[in-house]
Amino acid sequence: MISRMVRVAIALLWLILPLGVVLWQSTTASFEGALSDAFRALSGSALLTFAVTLITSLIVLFGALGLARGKRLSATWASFIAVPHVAFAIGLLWLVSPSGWLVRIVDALLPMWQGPLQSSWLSSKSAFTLMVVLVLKELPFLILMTQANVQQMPVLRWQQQAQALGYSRRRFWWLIVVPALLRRIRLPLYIIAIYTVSVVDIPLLVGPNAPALLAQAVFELNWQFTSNTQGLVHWGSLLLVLVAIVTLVVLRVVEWVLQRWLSSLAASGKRTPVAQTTGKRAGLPWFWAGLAVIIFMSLLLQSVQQSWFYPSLWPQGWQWSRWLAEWPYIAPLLYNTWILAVLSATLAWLSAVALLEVQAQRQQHQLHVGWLAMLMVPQLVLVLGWQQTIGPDSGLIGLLWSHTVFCFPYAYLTLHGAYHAYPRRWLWQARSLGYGPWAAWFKVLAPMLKRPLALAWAMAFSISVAQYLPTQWLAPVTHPTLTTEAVSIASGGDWRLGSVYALAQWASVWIVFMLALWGTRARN
Amino acid sequence: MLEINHLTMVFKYHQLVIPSLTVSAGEVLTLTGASGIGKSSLLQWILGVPQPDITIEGQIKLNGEDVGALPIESRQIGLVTQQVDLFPHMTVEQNLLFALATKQGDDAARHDWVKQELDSVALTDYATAYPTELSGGQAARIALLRSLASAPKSILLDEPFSALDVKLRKTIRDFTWTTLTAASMPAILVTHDVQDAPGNIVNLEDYYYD
Repeated sequence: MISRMVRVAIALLWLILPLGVVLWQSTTASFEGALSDAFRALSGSALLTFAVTLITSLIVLFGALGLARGKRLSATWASFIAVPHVAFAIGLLWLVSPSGWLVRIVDALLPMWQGPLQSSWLSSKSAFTLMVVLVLKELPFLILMTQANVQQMPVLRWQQQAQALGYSRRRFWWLIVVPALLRRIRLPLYIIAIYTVSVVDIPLLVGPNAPALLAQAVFELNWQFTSNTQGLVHWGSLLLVLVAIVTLVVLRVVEWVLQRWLSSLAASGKRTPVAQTTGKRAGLPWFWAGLAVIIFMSLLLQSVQQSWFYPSLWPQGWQWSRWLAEWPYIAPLLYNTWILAVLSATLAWLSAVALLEVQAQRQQHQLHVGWLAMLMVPQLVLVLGWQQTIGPDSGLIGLLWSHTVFCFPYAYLTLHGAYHAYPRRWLWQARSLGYGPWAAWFKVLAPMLKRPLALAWAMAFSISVAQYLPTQWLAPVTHPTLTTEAVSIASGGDWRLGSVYALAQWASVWIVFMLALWGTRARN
Repeated sequence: MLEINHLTMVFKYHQLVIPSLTVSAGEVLTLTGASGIGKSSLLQWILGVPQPDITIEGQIKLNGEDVGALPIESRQIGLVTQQVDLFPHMTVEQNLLFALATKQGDDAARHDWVKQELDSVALTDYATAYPTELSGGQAARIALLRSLASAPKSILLDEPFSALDVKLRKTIRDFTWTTLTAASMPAILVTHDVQDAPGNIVNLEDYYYD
C-alpha cells in the first residue's frame, strides 16, 4: 500500500503535475485564437520535426539491426555513448563542414579537386547536418541495446538449427533474430525518437533556422515574455507531444509491417546463401572510437588555433593563451557543473539502486517502462511544467530535482542488467554466515558489482553534465554550466571559444568514466 | 534437532503437504523427488529466503526454538550449494575469515584457526588463492569449511556433489559426511542421486498433491 502511494506521488511530481500545468496553461492562455492559429504559426516546424525524427529513428533502427550482428558486447559503445552531445556536435561540425578537416584531407589527396565544397547540405546549420549528428550519436546507443538483448537470447543454438536447415547467417539473422529483437528494442528506439523530438541544444548548434525544429522554436519563443508568445509556447509544447505520439505510432506501424514482411519471407522457405561477413564487423566499434578521437583532436586544435586557413591541414598560428584567458570564466562553470552533477548523479544512483534492490527481492526482473516514463515524454514539456510550477529561477534545489529526474532512468538502465543477473544466492550465503542484509550488501554484492555500480554513477554524472534545457529554464542566472555556456558561445558562431568549453565538458565526463573504470579494475 | 511441522507449500500447479519431518543431531536427511517438485524451495524456506511465488505455511524448530519468524542471519543455519558460492572477490583465507567474523577471538587466533582448517584439508598453500584458481574438489572442501566456520546449528546441502565427476564425487562425499559427523548437527541434503544419501531418504513425491 505504502509503495503504491510512493509510486503515485513520484508519478505526480515527475509527470502528471508538469503535464497538467502545461495543459491548463494552454487552455487558459490569453493567446488570441486557438490551436488552429498556433498550428498555422508552428506547422512548418512541426512537420520538419516529424520528418527529422522519423528519418533519424529509421536510419538508427535499420543501422543497429544491420550492425549489431556480434556476439560480444563492446565497451567501446558505452564509452562513446557517454561523450556529451554538445561537444560531439561542435567537434563534428568542424570535421564535416564544407571547408572542414575531411574536405581538406580530400583536397590534399586529390590535386585536381576544386575546394572548398559548395554544398548547402553540409552547411553548418541544416536539417541534414542535424540528422548526421543525431544518427552518429544515437546509433551506438541502439547497437548497444540490441547487442544486450541478443545476449539474452539463445542465438547460437538458433543459428546452428537454421544453418543445419540450409540458411545463411545473414538470412538467419534477418528472418529469425530480427523479428524477435524488434519488440525488445522498441523501448530504446522510442527513447531515441522522443529525444530527437525534444532536443534543443543540438538544433541550436547545427539545426536549420527557417523553419527551426519545433522544440527550438518553442524554446526561443519562451524567452519572449509577451502574452501572445506565451500562449504559443503552451500550444507549441502540446503540439510537440502530438508530434511525439504520431512519430511513435508511425514507428509502431513500421515495426508491424516489417514483422509481417519478414514472416512472409520466412514462410517462403527461400534460402539465398551469401558470403560470410562476420569478419567485417569486428572493426565497427573502432570506427566510432576513431571518430571520437578525431573529434576530440578537432576540438583540441580549434581551441588553440589562431589562424587555420583553407586548405591547410594544420593551423598556421597558435594561441595557447586562450585557455589561460578563459580559465577565470571556466572555473566557476566547472564548479557549478561538478557540484550539480555529483549531487544529482548520487541521488539518481541511490534511487536506482534502491529500486533495483526492491525489484530483485520481489523477483521482478523485467525492465519496467513506468520507471523510464520521463524519457517517453518530450523533455521540453516536462521542464516547461516545472518552470511554470516552481518559477523560472528556482535555484539549486529545483535544478537538482530536474537533473536527478533525467539522470535516474539512465542509472537504472545502465545497472539493470547486471543487478538482475546477479545471483542472489551470494547474499543468502553471507546472511547464513550471520551477516545482516546491509552488511551482506556492502561486503558481498557491492564489491562484486563494483564496476556496473560505478559505471551507472558515471553515466548519471555524464547525463547531468550534458543537461541543457533544465539548466537554462530553471536556473539560468544562478547556475550556468559548461553546457549552457558552450551552446551559447558556439551557437553565436565562435567555434574556437566554443571548443574550449566543449573540451572542458568532455573532459569532465571522461575523467569520471576513467576513474570509474580504473577504480574498479579486477584484482583476479 | 531440526523439526518441520504442518508444512504446506502451494505452488502454481501443485502443492506439497508434509505433516512432519525430524532430523536429529548428527543425522543427514536426504530429500529427493522429480525436478520442479520444490526440493530447493523447501531448503530455501528453511534457510529463511522469501519465496514470493509460493504460499508456505508451517513451523520450523531448531533445537526446540521456533525460528520461522527469524531472518536468515539469526537462524544459524549453514548452506552449501552445487555452485559452491565462494565469494569470488575474496581469497580462500578471506572467505574463511569472513565466515568467522562473528566469532570471538583476536586476529592472531582467527588466522591460526584458518591455518589449521586449511592444513586439515591439505590446502595451506592456497590461502591467498582466489576461488577461480581452485579445482572443483578444492572449492567444495573450502565451501563446507566456510559454512561450518560460523558455527551453525544445522546445515543445508543443495545438490553439493552434482557438479563433480564420479571419482571426485565419492571423495568429497566421504569428506562431507566425516566432517558433518564430527560437527554433530542435523543436516538436510537435496539430491537427485540416492547414492549420495548417507541415511534416511524422504521422497517428496509421497507428499505431492495436484
